[in-house]
Amino acid sequence: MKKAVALVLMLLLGACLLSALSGIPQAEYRLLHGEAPARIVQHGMDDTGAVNLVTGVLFDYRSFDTLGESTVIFTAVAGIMMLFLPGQVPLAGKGLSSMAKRSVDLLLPFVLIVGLYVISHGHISPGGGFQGGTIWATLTILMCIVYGTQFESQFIEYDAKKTLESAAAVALLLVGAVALFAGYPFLSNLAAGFPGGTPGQLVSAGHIPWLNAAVGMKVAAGLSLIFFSMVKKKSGEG
Amino acid sequence: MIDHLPILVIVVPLMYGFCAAILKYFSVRAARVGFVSASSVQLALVAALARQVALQGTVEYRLAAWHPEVGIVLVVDVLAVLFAAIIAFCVLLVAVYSADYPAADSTSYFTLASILTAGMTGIVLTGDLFNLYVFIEMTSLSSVALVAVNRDEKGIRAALRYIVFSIVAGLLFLLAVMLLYGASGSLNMRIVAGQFAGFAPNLQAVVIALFAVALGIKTAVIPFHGWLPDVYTGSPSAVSALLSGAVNKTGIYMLARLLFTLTSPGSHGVLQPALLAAGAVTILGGHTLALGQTNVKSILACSSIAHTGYMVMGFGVGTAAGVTAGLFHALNHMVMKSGAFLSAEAMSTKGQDIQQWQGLQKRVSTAGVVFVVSTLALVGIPPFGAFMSKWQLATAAIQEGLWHAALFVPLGTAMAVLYYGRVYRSLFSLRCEESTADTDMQHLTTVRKLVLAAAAVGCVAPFLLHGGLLSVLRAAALNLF
Amino acid sequence: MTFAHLIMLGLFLLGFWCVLTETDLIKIVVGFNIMEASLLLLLVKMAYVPGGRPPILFPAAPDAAKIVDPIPQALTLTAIVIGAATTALMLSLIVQLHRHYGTTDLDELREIR
Repeated sequence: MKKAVALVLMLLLGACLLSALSGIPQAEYRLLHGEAPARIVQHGMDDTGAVNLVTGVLFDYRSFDTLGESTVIFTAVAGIMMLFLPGQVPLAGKGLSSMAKRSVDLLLPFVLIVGLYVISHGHISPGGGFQGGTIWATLTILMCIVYGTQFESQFIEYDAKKTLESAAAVALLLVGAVALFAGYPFLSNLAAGFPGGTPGQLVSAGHIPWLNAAVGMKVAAGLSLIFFSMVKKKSGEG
Repeated sequence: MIDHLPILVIVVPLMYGFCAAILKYFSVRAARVGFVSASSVQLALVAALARQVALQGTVEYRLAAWHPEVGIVLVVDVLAVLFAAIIAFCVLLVAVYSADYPAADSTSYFTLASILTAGMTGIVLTGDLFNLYVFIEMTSLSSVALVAVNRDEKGIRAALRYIVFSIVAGLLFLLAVMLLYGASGSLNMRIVAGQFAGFAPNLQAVVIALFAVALGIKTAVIPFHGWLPDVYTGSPSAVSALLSGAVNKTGIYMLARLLFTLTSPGSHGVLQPALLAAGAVTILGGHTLALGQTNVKSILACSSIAHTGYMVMGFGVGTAAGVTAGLFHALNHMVMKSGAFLSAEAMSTKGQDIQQWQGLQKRVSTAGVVFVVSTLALVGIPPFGAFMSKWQLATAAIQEGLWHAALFVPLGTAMAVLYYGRVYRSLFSLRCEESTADTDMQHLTTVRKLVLAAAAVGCVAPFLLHGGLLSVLRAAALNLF
Repeated sequence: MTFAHLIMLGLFLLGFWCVLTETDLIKIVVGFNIMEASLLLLLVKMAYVPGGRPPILFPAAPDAAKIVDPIPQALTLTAIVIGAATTALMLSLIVQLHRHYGTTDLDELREIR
């Protein structure tokens, strides 16, 4: 009975979407007639100083969305930390063999640098704060698996991560607020006088690298907080 | 700074939300004071914004200094600022009431409630479709976490149910936004609305249907109401007040804004009758559900469904008078439901079952009076604001010749008398149950009494001031036409 | 309407079917993620121009007519992050539910209540 209803609903939804999708023109149409895509493809580099137009859209034209999505992660982290008591003791684990530990030691600086590269080159090449932050977060997860949770939580304290996340979020707002003091709308980039530099150079694109750095810190701290909140168990449990 | 008011209204609560965890290092008291002052500042900023809108008309704020074609804009018209004020007022009431909330980790509560405020204000002010989606997700995630703030079994079950429905609504909304972008190449509401009539008819119908279902889930219009009773009953009362008073209103706002901006409200398509029917079914169903409850909070929750029905019916009438009545009811409902939920919490020291409330009236004077006042207001009898909004709704429907729709208004009132009557009978019964007699009543702090008194005044004030209010609301409704 | 659209539609319906019929909460989360992934695929498909190049104008700008639309790509990134946050919150609620009731199956939960 339940499956029959589900099937009917599914077919109905499918038919609706099929008919709706047939009314959507190809991308070329939007690039010619849509004001936003046409403008961004033609003038995006001059407008934002970023040669990576996706980053230009994400951190300049639609930077308010990016602030919103960082807030969504912040909300999820706050909610998850609330659900898993802060007082819970970390699940002690011995970790893997010494061979694994040695190889992770060797790997560690490289992963760190890859993360840094992805964050700092967000406006030049594919990447940015979210991707780089995720790479950094995998580093803490890797450490946790190889060395055991006890070690990792001593290495970077829980409260330190929490403060780092809050501080990065505040930094994101402050970078946006700089423009307010210059008399321009919130999150204004080149218009508010951030130096554009030469597109393609590492130091260019106004505040985009700053936003990327703040987002990277936030995402790294946030994701590893989510992981550690979930890994921890109540004392006395399994 | 006056030019930046639209963004400050969103950034100030966000800033406090980010800082709450840091403030806690200094003292929990600092976080607490910060929470109340951030909410007060928020209301003051919204008031200043309202003044600006009154003086200058619609205010447009271009984020990152981009034109509306490529960037994100905040558009503040009378309707938006009205809902921003409803939200800010409700948040302030709840914030003052719950600042010393005994939640296990109160900073998380402060953080989440502030982010919720920012998210709701963002929903109301933004003029960009995808930005709206981001704010919807911000709002739903923070309210889901708030439902489980006590970490008890009931709260977690309710939160899970809530998040499942929220994800479905979010995905459908995102799909609709994507289809609109695909067809127009723009995400700005005004530009998309301008081109909407030229889209393929199938596409138009599917987009409207997707928005209607997604927002129907958000506002708990009847075929999609499954989550609401559990969520409002399972969450702490302050959170229920926030969800019912403010979060639900953002759904109402989006319903009015999106459907009426995309299709002109005068056009008698299938949408108008559908909204009318949904409103009628929701009124009837919500009151029927409430009749079957024995838990006071469940009764209030089910009556929230019914009251959403009145607002949707107001939009379904489709004239300026009808929309005005719907908006007026949204305003009244915020005050009444916040007052009812907050006073119900103060009353239910023994439990939330009607039986456990026997003879309570003698013992909790302020909370009892406010509970009776706010529920009488919910019923919709004369000295209260809801009477005026229901009256407006019925007359607006009759003006359009919709007699059958207008009939649902007195019918709903009659049903509400039945179920609140049961609560009153228990409340005023002379026989005091032994279990209630020997317990100490929870002592209400002066601050909480003041909040409850403010809510009670708020139930009466719209009745007395309806002349001035209606002209503002009418201006707000005309923003949609 | 192309083959890619059909695949995306199929994935979306598969996820929808999963959400409607499965009773295990973890599987419902999986269903939601399939639905979301299909929407993201549709977004990327919307941006694509035949023979298109990534919208990165470095070291040399590609032919303007061949650059794919950057906006849906940015939206995809935002939607991925939001989806991940939602999934994380839902999963941790499920973990908590499992600690209270010892099950994640909806039918079993209904009996416990």
